Amino acid sequence: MSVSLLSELLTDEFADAIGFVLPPAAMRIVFRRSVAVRKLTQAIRHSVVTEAEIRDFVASIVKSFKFGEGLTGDLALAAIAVAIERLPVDFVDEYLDALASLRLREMSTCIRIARECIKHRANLPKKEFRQQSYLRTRPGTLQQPKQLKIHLLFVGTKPKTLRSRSARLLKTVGSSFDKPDSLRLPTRPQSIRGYI
Amino acid sequence: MNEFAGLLLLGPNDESIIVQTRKGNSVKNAIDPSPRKDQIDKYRRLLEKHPNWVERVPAIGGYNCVGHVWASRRTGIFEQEQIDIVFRDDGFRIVDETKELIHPGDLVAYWSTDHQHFLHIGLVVELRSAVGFTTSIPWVLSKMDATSGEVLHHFRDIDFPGFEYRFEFWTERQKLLR
Repeated sequence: MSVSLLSELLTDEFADAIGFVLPPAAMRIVFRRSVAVRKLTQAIRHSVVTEAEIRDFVASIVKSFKFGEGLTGDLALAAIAVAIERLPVDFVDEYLDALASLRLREMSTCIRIARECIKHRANLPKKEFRQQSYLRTRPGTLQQPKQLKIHLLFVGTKPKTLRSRSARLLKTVGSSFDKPDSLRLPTRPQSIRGYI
Repeated sequence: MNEFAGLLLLGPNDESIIVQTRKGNSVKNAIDPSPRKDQIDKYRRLLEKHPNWVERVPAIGGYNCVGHVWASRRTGIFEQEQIDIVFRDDGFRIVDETKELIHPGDLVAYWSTDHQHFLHIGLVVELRSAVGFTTSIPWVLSKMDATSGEVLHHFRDIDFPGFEYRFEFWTERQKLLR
């Protein structure tokens, strides 16, 4: 199943369905809308096709490289680039960067498509995830923390206001903490950036 | 990625020539290799789907549709930004078909309907009169991709899988000709 999804990219049927090779920006859309590429994306998402299988497949295509002659799997490599473009794994960056850094006329289509995919991958919507530190005490113990870090997520709030708010918060929580002044108030809330 | 490591060692071998717009801006281009047998076969299969196309040049490498109209068949121009530069720098304007006629030498550009993606360009070489029509119908000479041949076709006898398209006629003529 998984191997056939990849090898389908080398068939005449796939080449015919894709039609003539359009400029890279449009060609990327053609690939994205193609049934074979959509199936492959789903298969990769659900681990039906694994990274190792893709690597083996790519290696087998690269093996057939001949100087001065167009690479047979040029379209297949381009299709894989589009299929994996949106996946939030390091392998995708590795694949796209390696392909885009090549300057070989024998495989110009996949190189152009990879460059196009990188442009769009950089534009993917990002979401800031809230980062919190929790007390590292086991429930039930009375161990008092030396300092509680409160990550303030009042973006755009002036530092002064933040201090007074945190002071009020500490009053209500109790006096088991250090003085409010000793709280570290980050100027910017820290965040982990990640792809959706 | 280790699978491409061997290819990286080969070093760059992409070919290009100097292409500039009228304003002297450089246009990025690339000369692709000759088509493989499977690419020629694919071109022939796609040609069979369009029985009214007239082939002028069989499958050939080296240039694409944009290179055909703007680089005298010497190289291929692939990036949309470069195409926009040529349209702007070379003084092209859209022909308003309600006010003036299309002439041989004008260009027909195909875009996705949302105008986001440039798809194809061809050169109007003939105006054929048709029974029942008062205006002549442009026939276009174009090269479908970097490995196909050149074909003469009705300006609407073309399809782009995955795209609804719109077309525009462009000219560098300054005066309206009626």
